[in-house]
Amino acid sequence: MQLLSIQSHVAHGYVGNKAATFPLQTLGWNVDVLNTVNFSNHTGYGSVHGEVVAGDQLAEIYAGLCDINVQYDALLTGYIHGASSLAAVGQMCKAVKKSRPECLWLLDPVMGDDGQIYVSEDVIPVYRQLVHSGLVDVITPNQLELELLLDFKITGRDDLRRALATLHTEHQIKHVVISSLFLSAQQLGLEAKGCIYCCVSSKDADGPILFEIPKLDSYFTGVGDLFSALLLDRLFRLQDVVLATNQVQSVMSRVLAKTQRMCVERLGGTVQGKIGDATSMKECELRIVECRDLYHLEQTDFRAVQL
Amino acid sequence: MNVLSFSSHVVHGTVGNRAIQFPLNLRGWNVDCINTTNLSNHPGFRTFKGSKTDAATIADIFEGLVEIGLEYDAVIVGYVASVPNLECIADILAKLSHKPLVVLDPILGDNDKLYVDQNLIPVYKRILKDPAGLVTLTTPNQFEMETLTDTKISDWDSLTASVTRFYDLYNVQYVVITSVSLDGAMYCVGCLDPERTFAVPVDQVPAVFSGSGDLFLGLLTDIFHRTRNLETSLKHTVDVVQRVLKRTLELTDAKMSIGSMPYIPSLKLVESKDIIE
Repeated sequence: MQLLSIQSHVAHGYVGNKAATFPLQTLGWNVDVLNTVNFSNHTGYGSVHGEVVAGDQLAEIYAGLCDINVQYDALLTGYIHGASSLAAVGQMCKAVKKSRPECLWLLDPVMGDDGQIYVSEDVIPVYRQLVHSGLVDVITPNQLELELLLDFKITGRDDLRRALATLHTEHQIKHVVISSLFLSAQQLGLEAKGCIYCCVSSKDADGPILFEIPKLDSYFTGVGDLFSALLLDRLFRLQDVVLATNQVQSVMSRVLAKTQRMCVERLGGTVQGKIGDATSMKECELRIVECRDLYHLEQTDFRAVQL
Repeated sequence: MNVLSFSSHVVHGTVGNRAIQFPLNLRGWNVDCINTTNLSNHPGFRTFKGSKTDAATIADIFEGLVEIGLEYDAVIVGYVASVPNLECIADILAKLSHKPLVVLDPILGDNDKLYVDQNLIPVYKRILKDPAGLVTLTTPNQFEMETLTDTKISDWDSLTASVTRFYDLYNVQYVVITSVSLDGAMYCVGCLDPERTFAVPVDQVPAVFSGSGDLFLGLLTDIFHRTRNLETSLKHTVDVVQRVLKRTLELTDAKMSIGSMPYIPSLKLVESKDIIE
């Protein structure tokens, strides 16, 4: 199984390709790693050094891969810095999909979180075009990213249903997985249980469903990157997005619990990485290596409820 | 355990940091990679695209790691790609105040052929000579050992002469000569000092591979860090690498050849997880 992953590289820590590559390798994937930036660490540390790989450099490297005729079974695209790089990545992914339609493309439209956009806004129209290309199989936006892609606010269950229907019908996206919604239980018409909601919607299935995931009182970076990598693996194997998401969320909850436990041991009680504070950020890195025996687990801890 | 690894990055394939990172991750290491290249693939595929990393970028990324207060248990120096990069890495090694295990592979060439810029030779020599003892363990192959000591190795006596000369010239405690051909057989030779050397026989796998030296470098760093016993480390590493090569040969339909041997450009590392971990 051959996969091309196009994301950021950090020398230290686990975001982007550093969060995706090793878990996928333990699951048997030969991962080709195309780095969109070459940084010392992620930006949460407050200082970061390194360089961005420009769009034309990315295109040149992809041409090199074409010259040796590498065939991909799956494509994973995550954090991409700036519109020119994103356009170059879009071109190469479209070329892969056109020459090999069975290749599974998961696009994580990384733009922001918690109401904050952390990429330059010129990527938004490029993501909209990609999502509209009819070639993307799965997208994993968070709620903010979903709103940016569709250009409307989601304030309740009906908006969410409308957003998902638009993605399936107008944009031909097969599967949409929103790993965490900001919507409250009340806004979703559910009983409040202190959970966050993960929403899964598929063209092939009856209607969108929600998983209730117990909230973890901590914040780690790279979580979305690990999530999308594992989801691509499970979806490729199982061909069932609801089952795939359930397994991945079950792995994620174990990875986060282990990361939190190791973080508490090191920091003595505080599990909040303070943005700009290198000492706490270092301890709040995902324990990608230490969790290597968890990625293959097939447990399904969560119960699906209809949206 | 944290290791900082300077070596090449290829999108596709298993050389440089791509051959170092995955095996070390499997053995529990967090591997911080400073990539000296950003290439589509290695030249063994006949064509490749991409670029070398500038020395200024390498220095900048290292500066970023220092700024967030990182210290390492081990540092690996593999393929450096250019003279300015090696000079930059030499400066970095001199700045490591916390004294990690430093393992340097003086990559110059193989089988009597130099395949890098010859101006790298004096820079490697300067690093190995440094009175501060910048390198703990170095892993030349036969050709590189011969080049570093200006001594041709053709029998056991000339091997001893080369080792003696190495310790006269350089300030490095441990040497591993990764492949020495003697009396028609292949050996991996470890040296603790000029008098204490030992040879581990290598059961040759009948093919030419890319990336096996990088795999060897990473695995040796791991076990030597854990045991500090060079002989145990060498036997173990030779055994694991040979088993990975055998599995790679079994799983590959070789389409290229070098001389009479099949040439295999990529190791089956993911498929050898059970052997490596």
